[in-house]
Amino acid sequence: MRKGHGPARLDRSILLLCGLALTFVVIPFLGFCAEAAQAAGVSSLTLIKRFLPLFAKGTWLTVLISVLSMVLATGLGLVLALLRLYGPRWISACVVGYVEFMRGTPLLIQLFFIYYGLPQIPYLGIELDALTAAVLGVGLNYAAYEAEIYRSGIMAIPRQQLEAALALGLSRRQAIRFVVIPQALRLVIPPVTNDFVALFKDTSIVSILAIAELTMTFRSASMATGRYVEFAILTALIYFGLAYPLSRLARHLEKKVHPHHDFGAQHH
Amino acid sequence: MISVRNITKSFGPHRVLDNVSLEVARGETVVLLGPSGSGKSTLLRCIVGFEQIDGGEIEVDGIVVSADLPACLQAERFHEIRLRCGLLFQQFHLFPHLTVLQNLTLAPIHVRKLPREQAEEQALALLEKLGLASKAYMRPGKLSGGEQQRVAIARALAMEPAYLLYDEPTSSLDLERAREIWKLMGDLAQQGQAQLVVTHQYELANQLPCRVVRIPEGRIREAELSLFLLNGSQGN
Repeated sequence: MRKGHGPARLDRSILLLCGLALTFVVIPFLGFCAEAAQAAGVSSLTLIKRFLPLFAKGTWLTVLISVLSMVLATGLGLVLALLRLYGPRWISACVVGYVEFMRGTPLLIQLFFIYYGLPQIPYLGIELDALTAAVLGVGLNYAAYEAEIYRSGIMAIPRQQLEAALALGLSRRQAIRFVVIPQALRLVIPPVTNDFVALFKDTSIVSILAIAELTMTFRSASMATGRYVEFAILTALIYFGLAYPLSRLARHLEKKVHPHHDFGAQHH
Repeated sequence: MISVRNITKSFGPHRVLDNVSLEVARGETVVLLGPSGSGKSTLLRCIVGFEQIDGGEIEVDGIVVSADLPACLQAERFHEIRLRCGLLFQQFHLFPHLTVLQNLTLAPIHVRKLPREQAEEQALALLEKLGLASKAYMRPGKLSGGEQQRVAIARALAMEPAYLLYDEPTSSLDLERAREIWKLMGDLAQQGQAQLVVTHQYELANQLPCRVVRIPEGRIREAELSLFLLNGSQGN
């Protein structure tokens, strides 16, 4: 029943989306293009065509920053979650502090601090290029969120799984590594994918470090030509075109993980 | 030999085990029979160190853990004890992310440090013996309850434990499946596998060549248990 139900709902949501896009984006845009072409001499399409290579480069940078920071966030997040759950009390307390601080302060301020603040610290003076600062800033920030996701995933694995592994003679460390973590990872794939979508959009904030990623490209292109509408729509479409399939993937993975929730044995 | 001497265990103000003693010799099968809530599962969990004992001592093949031993030393010795005792649960607790075969080889590869091929060969032979060869590459979630418990027994046997400890092994199975497991346990008893079975299913005691220790309503108490140990009836 689920199988028949899924695609039907998917079709309807895509139809609705196309309808919305047609009403609010495409039709006004076409009207605007015609008008603008008359007024300014240069048609919108020509304009976009001219700037397309720049936008391609910006898109590439946005994707690069997203992927690198996500790798950092997921890797560090797992380490943080493990330290919080299994580490000595003082380390666990430090991790809680880190997570709360990163989640409780704006990403913008963190980025400013890493890029402009670190070089000014006496004796330390760490100078980073903008791209490294961006990846580090976004990655360290999201690591706090990922750590919480991993933690909830690990805590969702029944304690008896750990005991069954210990009963077989595995050490605590082996039991966590071979039994608990692999099961927890499967549980967290959907929420982590969801977070990747959010991170992808949040990278627009690193444009304040003068990195020519997608948002920065939009700003310079529109400032240079004074044509905000065309470029805003183009930029939004690129973001959406990349983020939407990802969020669909997250939804799909969620459905895949939950029916098979065969922790299993105990539900029989 | 498993030897439990005068152990006590409380959960808060509730004393679950009160000065309990019990012995299981090598090659012997002992069924600890009693109603639920009588503390028999707790006793099993104490033997493998899943519950901390408040008093008394536990000895398995010369490895002694007493309540007053420092925690780190206790952890170390309980790990040694777990290498000698296989534990079976009412709810099986197979690893759902691994295939049946991987469930069996995980501990031999990482604990006994067997090469993967050898561990798999041994595991496949065990599965064959228990009539599970066709399930080797399936996930536990696809198996019936009875099959899952047989896989769990195979998984424990793969570590070649001196003792198998069962915590209500067939309570979640229907009678038909339970009988299959009892038959398997009987075969193991005949082969000289030492087993300690905790259950409230009286039929089980009749199915196994074993010594039966009965626990009446309520908590296990020294007098009661010793009495029943002395009078332990020889079932068949």
